[in-house]
Amino acid sequence: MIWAIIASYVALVVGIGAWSSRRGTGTAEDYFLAGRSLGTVVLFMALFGTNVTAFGMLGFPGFAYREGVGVFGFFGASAAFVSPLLFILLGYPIWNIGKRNRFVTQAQMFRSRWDSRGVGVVLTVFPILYTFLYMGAGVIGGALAISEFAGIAYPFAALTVTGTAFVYTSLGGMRGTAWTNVLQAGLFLVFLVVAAAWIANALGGPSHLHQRLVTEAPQLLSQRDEGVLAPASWAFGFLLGPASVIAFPHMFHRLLAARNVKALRRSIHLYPWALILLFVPVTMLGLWGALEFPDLSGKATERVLPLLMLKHLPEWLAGIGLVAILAAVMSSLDAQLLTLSTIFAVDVFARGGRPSRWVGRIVLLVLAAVALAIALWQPATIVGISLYAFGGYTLLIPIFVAGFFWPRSTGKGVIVASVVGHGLWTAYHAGKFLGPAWDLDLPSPILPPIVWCLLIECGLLVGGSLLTRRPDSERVERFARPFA
Amino acid sequence: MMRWLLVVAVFVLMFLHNDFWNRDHEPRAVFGWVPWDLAYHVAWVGAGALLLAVVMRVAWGRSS
Repeated sequence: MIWAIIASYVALVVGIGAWSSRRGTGTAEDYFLAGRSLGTVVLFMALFGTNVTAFGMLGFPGFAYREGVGVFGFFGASAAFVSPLLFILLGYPIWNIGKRNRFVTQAQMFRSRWDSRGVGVVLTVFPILYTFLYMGAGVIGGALAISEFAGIAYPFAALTVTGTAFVYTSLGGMRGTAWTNVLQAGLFLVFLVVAAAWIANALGGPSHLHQRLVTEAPQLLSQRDEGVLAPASWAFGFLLGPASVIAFPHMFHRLLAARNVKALRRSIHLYPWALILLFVPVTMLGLWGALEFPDLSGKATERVLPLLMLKHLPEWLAGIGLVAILAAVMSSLDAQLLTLSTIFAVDVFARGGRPSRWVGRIVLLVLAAVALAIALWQPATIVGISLYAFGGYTLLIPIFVAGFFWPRSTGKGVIVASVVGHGLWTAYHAGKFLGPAWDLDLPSPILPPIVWCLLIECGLLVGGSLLTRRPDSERVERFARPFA
Repeated sequence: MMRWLLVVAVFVLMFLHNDFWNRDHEPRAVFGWVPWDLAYHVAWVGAGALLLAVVMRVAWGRSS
């Protein structure tokens, strides 16, 4: 039965991709940005589906299993406020100025802002690097879960994930991926709510489970004073994850596809509530899983949701659960593939000329192969890769802020600040990857490393801009009044 | 003036997110099963959603 459900899901998303390709006008802008025509429901589901990865479905219940209920406040609540706040403050200028000047990528927008090819290179190289790794981490997480859950070989699971996402993304472009995201995000949200209710009922009801938690695992019902949830880590935790969402090139790309300000406004209003609907069930499932399977440790804790599903859900619902995990993985992967192919088609191959959707499709195939190769290679843990990518994205935010709100900022200031900031962050993580001899000893006990990198980057951006020639006022004018 | 008040409100909300006063308390539940910590942060998100609506209205002006 599980195979029939998976096959139905694959046929459905490929069908949506094919249907979308017939609805398009055939232009490159239509393929890459759906003609900037996404209304409220599709835009919201595309943003939300793109944002939620295998971490939401598998990593987060494991996180709650290990660290307790505090993970909801630490990450879930923080994401539900900080991400939409940055959509308001930076997302609207991205959409508004992008539409006004017909920009398609981050590099195109900010290269134009400072008339600097160097800024274009910075905003091509770093986003590509982080997105490649983050995309690989998503495929690794999804393929591991599927191979374990459905009992198939890991390489075949990775091929299924990337192959399916490639086919429908290639067929439907932005419109196809946005519509599949409606299906995917709806599927995993509804599944999580139903699964939480079903499993709670099977285990004696939520009040009974709370009593069991009080007697058997009271430490899971309050925040910890050490580890990830320690006060210092908690205070700056929003910088890795919740804040970085606005700088994901694939979220940036989705924002540009909004039809109008009404669609953008309504999507932002819905965002906090959708994240509550996601993170409350996965937190509770992690806690209840700790009662049911108390002996899991380390990475095995991320199996807690599949274990609960297999033990307490009927086969048909568990099959839908597997597809919901696939949906969470693919709803991000398709956006990442499309955005990277857009970056290559627009910033690398077209270079100011008209991008070709066929170049985009060919690049898409190469990118899907690279994502598969990263997934097969498994260079580091999923968490390690994701943290590096999240921090890197966060370091792009000062560029956006300077571009929209500081007319005195200069391209040279941005380049120096970015190269040092991203270089330091990369050196810090490369040191961890290469071993103790290479470990860069940033003073992390006082402030987390990402805060140091941000402070240094912002200092260099301000200093470098003030020490270099004032930018051309006509160019600044094109980016003036970002909220007008 | 309104913009500065909103900046202060965002900082106050972020401070309330660091709820050290909820650490190491006896296990409590809302409605008999929702852990207190979870309920606190859901309420915090609710307050955040209201603040977001005001920030949007002020920052986006007539376009919102």
